[in-house]
Amino acid sequence: MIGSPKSLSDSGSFLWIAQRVSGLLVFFYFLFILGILVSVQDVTYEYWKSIFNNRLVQVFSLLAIVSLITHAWIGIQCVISDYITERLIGPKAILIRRTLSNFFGLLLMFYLFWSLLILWNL
Amino acid sequence: MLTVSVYRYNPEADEAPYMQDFPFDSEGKDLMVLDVLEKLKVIDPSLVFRRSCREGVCGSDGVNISGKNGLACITPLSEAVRDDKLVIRPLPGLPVVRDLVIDMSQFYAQYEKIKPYMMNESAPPEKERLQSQEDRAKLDGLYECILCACCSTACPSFWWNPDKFIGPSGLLQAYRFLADTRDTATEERLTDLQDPFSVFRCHGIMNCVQVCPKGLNPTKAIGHIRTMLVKNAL
Repeated sequence: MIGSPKSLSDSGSFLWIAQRVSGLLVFFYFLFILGILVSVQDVTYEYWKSIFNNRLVQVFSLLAIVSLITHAWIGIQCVISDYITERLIGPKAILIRRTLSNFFGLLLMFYLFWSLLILWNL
Repeated sequence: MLTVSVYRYNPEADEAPYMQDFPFDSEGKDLMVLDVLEKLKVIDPSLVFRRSCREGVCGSDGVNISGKNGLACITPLSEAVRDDKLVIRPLPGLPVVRDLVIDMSQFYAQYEKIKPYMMNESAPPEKERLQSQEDRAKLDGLYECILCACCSTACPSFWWNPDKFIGPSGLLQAYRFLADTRDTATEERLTDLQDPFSVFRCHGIMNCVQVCPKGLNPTKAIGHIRTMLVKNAL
């Protein structure tokens, strides 16, 4: 066993695994929704409601949403730390990076709670 | 008649870098780019570039030739000239000292980080640490790196984070020691590489493979390191 990182976000392996697992979950959820759209002729509001009232679908949807948020968070962090560096734009990069990181963090949290609200209110 | 366009910059005299055009007659010969540079230096002795062995072994004369990193001494004009024009620039992404000479401190700092030497705590045998032929074969394609920096300076991840991402050259060397059965510091080496930047900032675009003048495959080596790190984390 190799030495432990200080936190999970300090572990490249954890982030790498999280991004791939979350990507796979979102992919399977996409296939699930696509399957419904292709196989059912008249997809009405009542039909969607009956699908999403199923406990398993709710759990799957929740997993997909959390996965999407996780996937987006890791990806955005990666892009920010790749392009906004002190080397490229000087010391102000630290402030810009933190601001963008917090902005996207809050935005993704907002999306998460909004999605949960939609799911619970069905 | 060729036009050879060369990047010029003398920080003590020039305000900004510029490209200088030289007319050049190769007399129909398929010269190497280094031969062209040597002939230009006769015309203009102020032109500065690194060179040593002139046969692709020392790795001194890595430059950007018509947009692609390579060794000037083993790149023939027939491969490098486009529309009767040859463009020679320093390797990208590292500070220019003068003309085609770059400051490679950051590149060597990353190389130093991966501890490029055998680590084995056990008492050394009387003669040497032996290896089976199969184990020795695992090092083929890894040990041949000449540290010319063509790969690392072709890598956008290294341009963006040269202080955090080890770069393809350093990681190829890191795997050379991870794959060596005589080395016993695998855990220590992997611990040093497990942060989100050192290895995982490789996005696998394979620029390194495309430009390596020795035909090596750093992306493959990085993939092996990543697998080792992920297996250890699970």
